[in-house]
Amino acid sequence: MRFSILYFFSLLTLGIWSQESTELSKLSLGVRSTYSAFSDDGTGLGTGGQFRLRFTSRVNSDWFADYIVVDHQSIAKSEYVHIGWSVLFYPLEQTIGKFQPYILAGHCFDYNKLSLNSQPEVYGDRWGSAIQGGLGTHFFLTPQIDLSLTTQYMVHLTKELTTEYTPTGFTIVGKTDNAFEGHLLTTLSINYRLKKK
Amino acid sequence: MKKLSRLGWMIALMLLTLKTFRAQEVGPKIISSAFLTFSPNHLIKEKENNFYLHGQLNVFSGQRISFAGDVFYDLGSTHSNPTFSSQHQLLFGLNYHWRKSINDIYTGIQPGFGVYSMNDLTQKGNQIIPILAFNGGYRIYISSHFHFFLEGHFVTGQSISKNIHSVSSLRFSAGLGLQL
Repeated sequence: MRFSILYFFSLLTLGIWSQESTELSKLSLGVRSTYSAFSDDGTGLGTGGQFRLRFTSRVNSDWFADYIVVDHQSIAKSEYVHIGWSVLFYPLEQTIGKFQPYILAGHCFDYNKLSLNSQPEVYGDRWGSAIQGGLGTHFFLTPQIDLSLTTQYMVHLTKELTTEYTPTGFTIVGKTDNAFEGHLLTTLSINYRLKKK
Repeated sequence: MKKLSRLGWMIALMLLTLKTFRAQEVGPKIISSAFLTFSPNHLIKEKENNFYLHGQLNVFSGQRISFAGDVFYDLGSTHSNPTFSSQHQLLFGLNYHWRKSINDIYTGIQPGFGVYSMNDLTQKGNQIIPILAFNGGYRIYISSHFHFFLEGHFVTGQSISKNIHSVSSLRFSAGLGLQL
């Protein structure tokens, strides 16, 4: 009798715990901030959002949109819109403490508008595409919420816009060569993984 | 059998104690909170001050994490010839809380956008600037519906127009908040 009461209590306690640990969905939502450096332009800051779709325990994907504003040598303002995706591969299936490092690579569509600071009505713009690759790590605050830090190099597969000095002043021109220029993007994101219904 | 039963009781007691301890650590459950207050701001590089109407909505996910959305509406500068005629911001991010009973210390990070317009007739229109904010604060829950708070934000970003202006600023908010 005593044993059965004990058994009942143990089951009740464990039962309450098991109710708290709900299974997580494959989808997570997030916001992100990106620092752009090492480009022909200069440095800049961006804000964006993303969702993640986890395919397996080792493979995840980021689907993102960013708006980045870069100071182009104090002459012009360079605005980028990136819409793209990356595949994240986890070399280690298990976390190291609260960290889980990953390698990522992907593709994105990018829009760039370069306008003169002194005359914003003088501008050039272009659509293009880019590829990116890099390294990163998740830091799990809880099993459902993580901060992720990613450093990746994005190569634009398009001819870049630049400023050119003419006798009448600066103007915006397209470069004639495709030097596969790009920028180093360091992104900090906050992600919330949804629960399964 | 008697030995086994005693062991069973000990395990059950341990589990219950752990559960009770966890409940005490968690404290009163808060799902969401909000406040509206006035917030003085200092533009670091420009050495100018202005005031914001600051609204915040916090949605808690457990006791440690909350998602915070902040709106800063510029009410005007104390400077006679300010750099920006208006500078509003919208931020969304996450706070991490160290909560003990009614005391709550927290820190967070929030990406966002600012809408800035220059105080210059030759530069009309607004510019949208990506910004990043770091914040920290303290709350004391005085009842199941109200709390007092003190909070500081450091906002960073740059405005690119005729001249490059840093929009890095420090601001301070305090007041009475509501648990929803």
